[in-house]
Amino acid sequence: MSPNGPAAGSPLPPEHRAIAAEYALGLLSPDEAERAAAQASANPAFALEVEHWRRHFSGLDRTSPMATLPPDLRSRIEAKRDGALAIIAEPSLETSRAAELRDRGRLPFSSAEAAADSRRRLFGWLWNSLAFWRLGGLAAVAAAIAIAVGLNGQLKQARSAPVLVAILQTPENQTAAVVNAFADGRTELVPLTTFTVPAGKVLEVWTLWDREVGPRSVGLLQAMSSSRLKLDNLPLGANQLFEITLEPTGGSPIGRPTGPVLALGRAAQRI
Amino acid sequence: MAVDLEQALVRCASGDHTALNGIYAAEGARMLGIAMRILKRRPLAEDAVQDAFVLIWRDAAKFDAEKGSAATWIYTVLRNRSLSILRDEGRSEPTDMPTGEHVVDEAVTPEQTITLTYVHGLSYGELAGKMGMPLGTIKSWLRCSLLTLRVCLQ
Repeated sequence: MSPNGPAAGSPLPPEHRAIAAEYALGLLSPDEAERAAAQASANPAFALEVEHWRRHFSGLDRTSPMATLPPDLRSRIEAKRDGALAIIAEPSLETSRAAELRDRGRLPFSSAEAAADSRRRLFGWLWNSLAFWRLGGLAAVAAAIAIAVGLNGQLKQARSAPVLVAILQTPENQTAAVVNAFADGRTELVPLTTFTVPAGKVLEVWTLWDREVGPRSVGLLQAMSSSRLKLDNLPLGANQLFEITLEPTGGSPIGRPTGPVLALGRAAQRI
Repeated sequence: MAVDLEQALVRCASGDHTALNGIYAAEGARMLGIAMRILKRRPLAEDAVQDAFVLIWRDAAKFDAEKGSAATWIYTVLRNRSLSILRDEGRSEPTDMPTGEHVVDEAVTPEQTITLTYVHGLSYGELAGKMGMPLGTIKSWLRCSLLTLRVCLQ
């Protein structure tokens, strides 16, 4: 018996024993199960209790009939075994601009705030730039161009209005993000709330259009930020499910959601 | 000859592909049977077994023989994956939820409840639906039964 086992004194409170049993049975919610896993790593007495229950219930595993393995399952495992999840969300246009400025040495860091920061700095830089004010005489021309660009922008916007929109809600029914899909195949995630992402975790965006195919990863995010989703060759249609889960850094190792669902919603056709 | 699962996990952790094949040959059929009891549908059960083997391969180094048996570890990976797929399915297609399919009229023993949960992956919510009891009642009843069972097992 381990020195930390029940025989060593300091037994676990009944509440913890019950949680250990529920954890072994699979009755805990994803959040609770994550907390129980953390407790098992931190507290050897709790880990021992969980193992005790697992061993006890494993008797039921032996009552299971054998199932005939399909001939291709072994090769499917081998194909996925060494494969890494390669789908990474492209940064949105705004953050690419920020990255460009950063590369030129004007911005000191990379983060989700980079875009907002770049706008602030660029504005400050223009404000202080003598060269900019020397161009004041051309302001009228610039204004005319600005109006023209603005009009053009509006036309472009009308052409590029999303054809499909999915509103992603948290389990508490709070709107967390909007996914916009455009006619040209572009799909973007617009965040409306932030999530606390613990160290060693990322946000992973998934889409599901056919349950036979299963969910596909369309993006990884360090934090909630405007992002282009990678739906390049995937089908897209009304009622398609989008969701965000919390996954280990690098994304779910198995290409299916493993962590708690933070938000989900179905796509609807724009009228 | 029975495969030494503990040895096989150690070899997986060191990158030996044949060790994973050994576990598959020895346990795969049983694992698929268990996944089918939870997920009911064969394609989903096959996915669960496939995912479980990928996870076993990737996380083999996390297995600690001091803390538990290799078989328990392998089957826990499979169960967690199966339950996770079951939850995903229920979430994306709420009409598939088995809740309320067969309402149990007669009194159910704690052992039967444990079997429903462990073998068929029923959640507290589904247990409450099947047994026609409020969620809070079924939770405290099962916890109490588990603690009683724990005392008997000691």
